Amino acid sequence: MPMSVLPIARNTFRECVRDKVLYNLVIFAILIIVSSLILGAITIGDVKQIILNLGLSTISIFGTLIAIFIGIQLVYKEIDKKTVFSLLAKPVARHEFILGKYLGLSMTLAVNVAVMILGVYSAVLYLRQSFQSADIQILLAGGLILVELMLVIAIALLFSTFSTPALSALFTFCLYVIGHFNSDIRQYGASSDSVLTKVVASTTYYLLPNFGNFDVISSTAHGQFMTGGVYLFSAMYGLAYSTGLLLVAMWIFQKRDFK
Amino acid sequence: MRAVLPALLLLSGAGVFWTQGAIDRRVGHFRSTEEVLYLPSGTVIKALSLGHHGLLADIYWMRAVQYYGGKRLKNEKRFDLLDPLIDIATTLDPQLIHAYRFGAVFLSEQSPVGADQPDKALALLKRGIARNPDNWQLYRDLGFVYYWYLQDYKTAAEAFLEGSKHPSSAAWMKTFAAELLAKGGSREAARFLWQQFYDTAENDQMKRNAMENLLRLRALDEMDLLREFIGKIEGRLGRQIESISELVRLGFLKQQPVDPKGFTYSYNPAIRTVELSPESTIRRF
Repeated sequence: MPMSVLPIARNTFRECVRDKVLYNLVIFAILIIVSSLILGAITIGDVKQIILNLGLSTISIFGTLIAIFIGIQLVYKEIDKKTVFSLLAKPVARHEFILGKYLGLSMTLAVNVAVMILGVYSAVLYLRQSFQSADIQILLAGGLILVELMLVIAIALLFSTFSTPALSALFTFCLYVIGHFNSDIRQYGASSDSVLTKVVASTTYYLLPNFGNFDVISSTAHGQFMTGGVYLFSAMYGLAYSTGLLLVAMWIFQKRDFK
Repeated sequence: MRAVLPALLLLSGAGVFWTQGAIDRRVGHFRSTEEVLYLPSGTVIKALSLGHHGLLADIYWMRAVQYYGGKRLKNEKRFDLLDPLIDIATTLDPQLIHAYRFGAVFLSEQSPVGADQPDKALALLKRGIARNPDNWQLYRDLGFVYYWYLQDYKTAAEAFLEGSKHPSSAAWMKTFAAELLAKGGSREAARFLWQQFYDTAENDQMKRNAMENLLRLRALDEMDLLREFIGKIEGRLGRQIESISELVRLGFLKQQPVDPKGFTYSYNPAIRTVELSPESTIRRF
């Protein structure tokens, strides 16, 4: 990795902390503590399952919001404040700038997810007074959620290299939603008699990000371990897709004229 | 300024509290839980959940529990939203086993304790079995609904037998199915089944419900015994007994017999039956 990427990443991380991004951890902590205390009284069933659903969904939702709303600002803010000129005047390649920004926000979200996962484990310990071997899935689910968030950052970053923050947020959100319906697109193609429809649906299926691959919250809550390397392949899918998006973002940023 | 700010904050807080109270008094305290299903289809909600269907299932199940509990508290007899709420919760999370199990009880229990809709409970449990064929407890609950609420002992026995085929099922399921076919709806069979529910209850509510039914069965036994005893005394005296206290007065009983919850039994000479006291909290159905 080029030497200039890490300082940019570190700086982006610091910037996020300065922007009070990690304050969402306080809300998360309150949510988890209150839920652990009162859920047993207002529902019937396995409270641990609800805590896992609530905790992991909150990690995913908070993380997605941060990834979108900070991700779209990463490049735009630097261009808008013209700080990008002083930065690129130094021996920093444009692609290193993009990579640094991406890694910086990913680091922020990694810290965010790690602390939240710790919170979920604490809630489980409070409820059950002990851990079970199946609880390792919480960590795996957290890892996969982080990969999903890194994919969202890559999408937001890509749009932010050529669009305004408002439009970038809209595009990213739309792609995030469509990515959750990816399986339906494939199913639609499979059930169609038209060859053209089949080809279009299949191409769309592979072209669009498939966020359904990271849908492990429910199975984790039920204690169902996904076998056959699903965790590994899903993580690899996310990283491969993010890499592709980053490369496109770097290419666009490289071509961009700031005059 | 330092003193004014907290005072203003306090004042605005009090203002919010007072105005909210005034609104609640005018439109009712529980309007947020009004009988509306904003999205009636679990499939639609699942599609819109963006992968968070597990959390939404929990929320809908909580809403179902609160709806049921609220109706019970208000002693209302209609539970129109109960089945749709449980259906949405189980569509969002087909493996939400406790929603099938408790939902079936809520739906089956007679009014005003439940919705008095055992047919819907059966449909719910059958959906649960189709989605979770390895869960033997759903077969047990299915058999139980047939047995207890519909008195369909043959179908109940079939359900228990089907459930007993699962390797992890309770050993008593098979023998109970045979007993059910032989004896039908005997009180011993009911006691055995409730005892099983009590022994294997996964939470307090389930345990309490089983205990209520066991106490009811005990009260039924005691009332039968008492009526038999009164019959014998009447035969010996050659006249009718007017009340149980008369038996105490005559020295046939040391004290007024009480039901498992401590309320005295009463005797109705007109129809010659021993009854629970009107104040008794023993379940009557």
